[in-house]
Amino acid sequence: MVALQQSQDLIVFSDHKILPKFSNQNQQSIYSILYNNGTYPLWLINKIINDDADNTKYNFIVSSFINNNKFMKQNIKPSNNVDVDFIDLTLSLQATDISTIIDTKYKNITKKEGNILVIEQPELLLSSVESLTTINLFQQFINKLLLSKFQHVIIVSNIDYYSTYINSFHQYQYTSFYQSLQYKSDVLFTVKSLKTGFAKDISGTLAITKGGAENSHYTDKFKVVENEYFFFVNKDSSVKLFY
Amino acid sequence: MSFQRRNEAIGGAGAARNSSSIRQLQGRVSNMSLRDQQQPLSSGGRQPIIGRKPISSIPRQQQQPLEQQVQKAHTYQQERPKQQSLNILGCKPSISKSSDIQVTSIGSPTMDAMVFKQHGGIPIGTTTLIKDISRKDIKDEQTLKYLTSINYQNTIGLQFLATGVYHQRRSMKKDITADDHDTEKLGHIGIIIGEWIDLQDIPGVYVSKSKKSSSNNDKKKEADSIVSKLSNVEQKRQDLKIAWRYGMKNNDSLKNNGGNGGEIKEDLDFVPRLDIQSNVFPRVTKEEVLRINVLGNTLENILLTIQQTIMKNPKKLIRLYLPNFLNPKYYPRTYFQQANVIKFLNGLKHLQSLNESRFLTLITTTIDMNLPILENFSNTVIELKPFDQQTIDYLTKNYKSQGLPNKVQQGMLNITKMGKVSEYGHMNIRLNEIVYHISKNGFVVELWSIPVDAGDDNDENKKNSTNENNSNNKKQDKNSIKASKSIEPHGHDHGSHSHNNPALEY
Repeated sequence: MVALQQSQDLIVFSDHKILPKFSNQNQQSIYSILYNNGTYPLWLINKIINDDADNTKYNFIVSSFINNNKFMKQNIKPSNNVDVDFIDLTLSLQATDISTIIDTKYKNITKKEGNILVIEQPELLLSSVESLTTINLFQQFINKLLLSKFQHVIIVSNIDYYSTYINSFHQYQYTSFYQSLQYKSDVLFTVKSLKTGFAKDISGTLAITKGGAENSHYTDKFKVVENEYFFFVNKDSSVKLFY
Repeated sequence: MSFQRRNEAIGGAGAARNSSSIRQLQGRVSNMSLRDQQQPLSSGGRQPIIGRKPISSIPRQQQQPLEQQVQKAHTYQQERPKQQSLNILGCKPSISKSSDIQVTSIGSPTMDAMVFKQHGGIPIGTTTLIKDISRKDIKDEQTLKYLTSINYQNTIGLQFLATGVYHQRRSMKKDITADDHDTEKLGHIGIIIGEWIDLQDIPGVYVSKSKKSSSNNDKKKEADSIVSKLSNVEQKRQDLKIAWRYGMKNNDSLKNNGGNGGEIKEDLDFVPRLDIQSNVFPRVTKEEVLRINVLGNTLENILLTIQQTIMKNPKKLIRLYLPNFLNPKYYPRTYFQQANVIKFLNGLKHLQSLNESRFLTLITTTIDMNLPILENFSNTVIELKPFDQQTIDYLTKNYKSQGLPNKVQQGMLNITKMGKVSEYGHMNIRLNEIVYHISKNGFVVELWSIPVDAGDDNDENKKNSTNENNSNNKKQDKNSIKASKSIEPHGHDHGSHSHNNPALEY
């Protein structure tokens, strides 16, 4: 069966691009990659970084609160001309004040143009910084990054903490974080494992949906192509998408 | 009282042996200070709070934020000459060929082979989370059931520690006899966080009944002075050869018994055969398993103590076990601040990445207490989901009718995340495929198969059962021996059994 299925390209916009066009410098956007346990979307991050021929003009920065630089450097493999930097944020979870993280970790980034940030699990700050709320997390961290350092932020989040039964302060903050991500993002990538468990030829599903962010660029000809794929991660970590 | 006295005698003899042996070992075991060794083995009472000692020795550092502490550890680690290939006993390369992952045993051969299928053991440098789903998930009758099923977790945890003790003791022996080996054999050290676990309960190595007399002799030999051992190196080698033969014999007998399907090879260099009804002998010392108390301690201090233990044992494999993590029965209220928990887990993960080649963690918890951030910081996540009473009754009845009363499974084991596999995006979610139960040899897992129906079911099933059912039963009878022996083929057709009992369908 595997051989019969035709593999598909990952298409996000109707012009076959994955990343948005930035016509003016002030433009900014957010992508969200949401996954659940057991479907860590490393391949998707790699694909976004590598798939576009235009990517050489971008400057990627990969930061993670959960995986350290060593892991990320081993597994994020940029193709020849793509420029990727790594900033380790794992120890920032020990910080008690959110505002210092940007100042210390991203101080070398001076201009915003062409910078794309891949940031993994910023929502963990909701747990590590006492009484931090979602609103504050966006205002003091993500929006700040977008304002001065990056044109485009790709947020990779584990949505296992999303819950409709809210019984604690933290659960509420996490849930509202995921909800506001959906409103603030241009594009949502939802990576899910199969509900039935393990399968030999399918790893899970990837859904691409338009987020709630307003974008004046969208026209009839240029818009988000909403789609749902099956994906399969081969043993050599290459990934096949199919319907 | 006599029990107590016996223990003291054991402790005393052990200590004497230890201190005499240490003179011989001094030159060889470079990573242990003489003073540490000469501390007498615990003499029956509880160990003092170990957590306190290091705390008092670092009064200033406590004021510093943990980040600096951890970074300090980092630089300390970098100064140390890097040893790439540590020759730790009980470790082997993962069976996945892709990378140089080393694995060690969790203490249960079936668990190594089936749950950690991709590796053949727990990958070193990862955290394994075993969480228990209490029965209220299945039947919403009791809300505080989570205190009931703790024993499963501790069984596997104690086996985890026992494996460490076993390899540590082997490493000490090897130093005496194996002079011709250039490489130093390195042992393990266990760290357990929690005073409610009695280290006495750590299971001992299985001794088969027919061999008991001869192995008693072996034990006596062990108790003899080491000097005589040294003079008889050749003799000892002979003994080892004999022990090896016994090992082979045990292996065969296990296969014949069909204990766990017979497919799983027993490798005594990798995982000992444990008997959970026995206790480890002689008693576990502080050098083998270090206990850190929870009461009167904080997560931050626990982390520091772990860090110091890692530094003090620069070559050993560290097996860290956190039983019943954050269970309100044992953890005081002060532990539940999420900011502290996440800082602890983050620090632990950092320590782990610094000591990737020789540090692994096992955390057990109940899902009621489960914080999703725990899963986030764990490389492997395993769920234990006990069967409800109806299913257990059904299984008991059917297995008894087959004369296999010990085979009754206790619940499902689901894997939602696998270390060094899921991180790379590979799919490894296993749901409703593996079942577990506790046997004499400890925690045993096998592939799930519904037993052959005994036939005398209640009315409800009779309604469902048709002629087709009967013919099916006959077919199953033919296979019953095979099926009961253990493992159903992987492509087991659940559909053909589903009419047996509606309760089995979730």
